Amino acid sequence: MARVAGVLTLVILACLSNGCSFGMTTRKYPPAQGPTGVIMRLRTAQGQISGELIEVRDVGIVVLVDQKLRLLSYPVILSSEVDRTDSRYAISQGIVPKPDVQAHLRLLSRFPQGLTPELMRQLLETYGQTELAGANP
Amino acid sequence: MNRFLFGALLGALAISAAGCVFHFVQVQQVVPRDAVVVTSPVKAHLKDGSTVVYANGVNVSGGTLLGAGVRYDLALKQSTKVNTIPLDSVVGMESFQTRVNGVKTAIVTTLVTAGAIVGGVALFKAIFGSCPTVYSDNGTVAEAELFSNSIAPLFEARDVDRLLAQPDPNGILRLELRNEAMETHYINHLQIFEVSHATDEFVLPDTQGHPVVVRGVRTPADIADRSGQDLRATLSAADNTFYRTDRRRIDSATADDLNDWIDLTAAVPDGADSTTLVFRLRNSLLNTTLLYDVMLGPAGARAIDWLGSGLAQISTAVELGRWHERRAGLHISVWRDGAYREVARIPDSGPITWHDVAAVIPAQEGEKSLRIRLSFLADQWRIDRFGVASAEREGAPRVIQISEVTGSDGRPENTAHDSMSASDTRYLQTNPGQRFFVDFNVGRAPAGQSRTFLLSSQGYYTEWIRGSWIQTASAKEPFTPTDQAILGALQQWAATRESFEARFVKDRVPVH
Repeated sequence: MARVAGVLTLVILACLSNGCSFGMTTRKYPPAQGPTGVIMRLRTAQGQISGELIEVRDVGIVVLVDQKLRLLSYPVILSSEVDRTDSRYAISQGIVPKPDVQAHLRLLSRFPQGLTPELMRQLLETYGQTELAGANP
Repeated sequence: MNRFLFGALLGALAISAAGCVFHFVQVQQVVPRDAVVVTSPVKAHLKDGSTVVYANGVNVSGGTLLGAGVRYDLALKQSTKVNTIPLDSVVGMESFQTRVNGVKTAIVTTLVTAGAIVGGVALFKAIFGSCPTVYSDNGTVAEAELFSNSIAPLFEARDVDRLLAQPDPNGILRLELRNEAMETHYINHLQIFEVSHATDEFVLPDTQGHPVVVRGVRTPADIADRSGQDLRATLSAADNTFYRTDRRRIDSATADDLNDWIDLTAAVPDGADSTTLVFRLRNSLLNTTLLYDVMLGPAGARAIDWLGSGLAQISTAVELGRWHERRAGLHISVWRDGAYREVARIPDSGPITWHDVAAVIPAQEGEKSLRIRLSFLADQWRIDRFGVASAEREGAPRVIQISEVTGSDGRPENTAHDSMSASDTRYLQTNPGQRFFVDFNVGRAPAGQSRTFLLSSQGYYTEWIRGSWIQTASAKEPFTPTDQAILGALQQWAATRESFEARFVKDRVPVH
């Protein structure tokens, strides 16, 4: 019995050596360490874009792509990936995300509280814009 | 028996495929009201569109956000450090917390419990427990034990240890990384600091892990323990003749008086604004007794929940961390204005290998010498050498990354290499009995120059719950950090310290 148990134990240890997985901590999660929103990679009919999530609205999301602020309405988003974040918070198939997903994404955006018209005007001015661009580059 | 063995193996395989601790980040809205203390990263959003990032948390008190923050303007073009923000300028806040997936933790529990019951072999009686151990020179020189305080993911930490190792003629410095304990190790990053120095200089890390270079280290003429015993002879050389607390002091300890101390006078070098204390020390097994016999053992199987889910809760971890910081380690105080005032703390370093560490103590203008007290829990430390340096300078390290990792069979372990090459989300996970050889290409030393190597490591480890703990579990509630708990550990330790020390190293898990 002792010999079998010893062998069994060694095999269990050997099995265990293959078992490992990783996860995210706040120290490695950019939105927790800086002022920026989470990075989103988005696919639309016009192609792939990647940018910082600025604001989450009822009709879509505002992202900063290549120093330009864009409003992407939910129907134009074919698929997406939220950097280092669970895939259940992705937007896909042009579907308006459920309220809990929107709420979570809002917390990961640069301005979870939203922007007043005056603050949005100031922000647009920073990037040399007078209004939000759309999905088209 | 064969059917039993086969079934058990299948079970082990199934469990091992999923057996892991998994972190994720939880983000929550914080209601900015009075009397809120958040110890994880927080972002506060202000009415003017600016954002304040509190990487180490924030305290909301008296209508004000208090804490070290960085304020970014609307467009993130400018940033300034802030310490106070009026609450009425805040429109929203959110906190970020690291959490552990409790379901997968429970799976690990099942495995360890099953292993303890089915196994019942000597392996599970092992008492050796102390994080990853590092050896050099074909396993003959014990070099370091890594991140010994990091008993849960939230306690992941970086350690810096002075090495004795030198490279081979080809410039390769080889270290052997072992898991010799009933623990799972999660190693995130290993790298080497190389510091060049003169032959009469000594390189070691300070209490923050920064390399410092000292010379002229001498034991002060005036150094005595709590009972007044002169310690010069004991502490003058790195010779394994070490200081440990007298048994009478241990026996007389109470919850209100748990400490031992050493008093000394340290000269401040002419023209210097600080004096540097040089230690060679290691922990006793009191910490191990506390962890095994007080924190984990009495809780039995429930301890795994405390290690996993419990310590994944910020409040529990902070409570334990604050208690640990207040009670553990070696506290360095200077006599000023009629009382000893703490100026530095040396963190615990583990009970196996001697650890060289320096503490740079700032001097005030006009101070020629400092009256210093080194205080610590009774019998928590073994101090081999103590001295005061006549000169100190910052070390300028060259950082050297891992060049290759090989397994026991000599084959390259590329996944292990990649897992330990950067401080990121990848970890090398090791289990009892595993070892890896880690090579650093440090090159050949320039002629006439000495080099000292420091190992910088980051990670954490989790204890396996022993079968005997499960069988004898007695506590109904999770461990609560109190001084009474320390006293209990000290009394258990006092009753067993000689025999425990003798068995400790002998009972390490053999590597293969």
